[in-house]
Amino acid sequence: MSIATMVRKGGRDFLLVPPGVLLAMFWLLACLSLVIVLPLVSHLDVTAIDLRARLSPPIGFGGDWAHPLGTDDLGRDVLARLVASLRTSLAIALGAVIISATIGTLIGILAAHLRGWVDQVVVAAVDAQVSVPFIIISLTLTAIFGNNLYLFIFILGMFGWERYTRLARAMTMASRGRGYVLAMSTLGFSWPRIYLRHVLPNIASTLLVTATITFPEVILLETSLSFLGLGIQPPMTSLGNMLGFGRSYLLTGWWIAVAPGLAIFLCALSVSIIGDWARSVIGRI
Amino acid sequence: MTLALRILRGFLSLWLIVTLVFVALRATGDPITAIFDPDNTPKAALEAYRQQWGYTGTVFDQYLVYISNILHGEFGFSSMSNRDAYSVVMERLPATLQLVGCSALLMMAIGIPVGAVAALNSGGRLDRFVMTFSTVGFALPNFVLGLALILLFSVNLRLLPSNGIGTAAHLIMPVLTIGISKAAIFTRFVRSAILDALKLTCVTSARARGVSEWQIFWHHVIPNAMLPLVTITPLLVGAMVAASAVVETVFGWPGVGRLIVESVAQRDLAVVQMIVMMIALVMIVTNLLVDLAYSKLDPRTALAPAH
Repeated sequence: MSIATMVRKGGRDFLLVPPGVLLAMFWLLACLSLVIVLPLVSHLDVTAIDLRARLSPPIGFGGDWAHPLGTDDLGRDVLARLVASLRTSLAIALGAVIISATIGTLIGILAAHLRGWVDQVVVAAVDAQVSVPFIIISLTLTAIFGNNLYLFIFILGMFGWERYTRLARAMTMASRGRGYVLAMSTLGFSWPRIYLRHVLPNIASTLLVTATITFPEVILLETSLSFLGLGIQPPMTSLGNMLGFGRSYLLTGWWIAVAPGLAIFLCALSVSIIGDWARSVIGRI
Repeated sequence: MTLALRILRGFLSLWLIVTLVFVALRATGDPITAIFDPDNTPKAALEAYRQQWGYTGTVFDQYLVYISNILHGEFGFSSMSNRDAYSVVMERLPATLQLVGCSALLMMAIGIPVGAVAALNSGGRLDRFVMTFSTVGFALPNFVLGLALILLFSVNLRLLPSNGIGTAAHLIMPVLTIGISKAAIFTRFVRSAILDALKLTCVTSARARGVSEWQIFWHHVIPNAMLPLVTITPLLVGAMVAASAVVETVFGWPGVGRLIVESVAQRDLAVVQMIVMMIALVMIVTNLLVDLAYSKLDPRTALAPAH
């Protein structure tokens, strides 16, 4: 919201990107390129153990360039683990957002098209989903089905489906009365074609902003569950998993927890800054 | 919607959740063999447990037994502590209520004045400062904030205990963690509620009549800003319950949040389902109360015909 006013003050041109948003984009791009490029350049071994350099501090706190961000209690390189964790967390969050956006949007369009009892059931399901905090639902599913990667991705892929459903349903219903939809249906085009080729592109920008706003929440959910030991399991690492592990070493090796903690915070912050900005831009079109 | 219809809908949601838990529990196979190793337990003992917990007959029979047990407050036996799940959860409840209650107070103590100041300075430097902090607070996960507090107050300054319950000092850091992170969200809501209220015609007309700004704020802005704030209460209650699962684990606080995490790790299903149903009940009742409060606070909704 503050970003929107800054844009408005900066001139009429809303494509003028405020410095905070630029910084956020820069950080995300840096993370993405680090995650993609670093494994190509050097061999990232998250389980390699350097026993002579156990709990070595990061550079600037008495450490050396062999381990720029220090090592953990087993002598594993924190930077290598951080990059690997970042890759896991970002990939999972991205996948989860794509899954929930696709499923949620399809359900919303279907409900708007079929109406009747299907619509009623969808609305009731959306209401029920909203009435219980999502982390409690994911904990319950984990307790019942046991902890495994597929279930974990399924759970994260469910997160936020009701938001897309709500939006897609409302906007599809609104678009049914529009001239172009009436024209297409009069010309005899099939409903799937009208929805996917003509209605969807018209509502896509709003859905995309919703996805951007949901993204940091998915990161936080994934890291929370992994932090509690109920998400990503070793030998895989994720940011939350790494932080949960580093929690036991706050006294002897604070950097083990600080590195992933900062990474989670900065990524979530960057995406929400960009999301806020995107929402303010969309709102003014 | 009439009151009866609202209550009916609340019951419907609750029934839906109870049923979904039942379906999910049965989808994993025979619940008895999930708890006991069928190879090392005598057949007669397995059969006795089946009788005791109503796992006999058709699935529909089992469902009826399940519903009647829940209505009688029997959620089964906690495999982790070998006791009734109901009493296991209930003895952890006061600690969580204390934590959530204090956090809610802190959230309001920060959110209301800060949000009001930001709204009254809308667009100004102070407003931008507050909104920046709100964005930062929103992106800061509970466990990162909690660990940062431990690092600062327990490891470096050695001022506060990092773990456990008992004294007021134990309460400070968990309450700060939940209170600050929820205040970041709440402040935004307070700000936008007051901004919306400031745009109302009654405010403009009061100003035209020469009413003092102070009186306008108390008599016109605050009552109108209350309405949207009441609506988000269930959302925040839910968020705090969710936050307690993580925060209680970070600070070793023996409440329901840590209990559910422990129970999930141990797959203590009786305790997990009891907690889920309790949270669902609390959320649905809160929603209902908010709906009722809304019609009391806003006479227009009570007078308006149902639509």
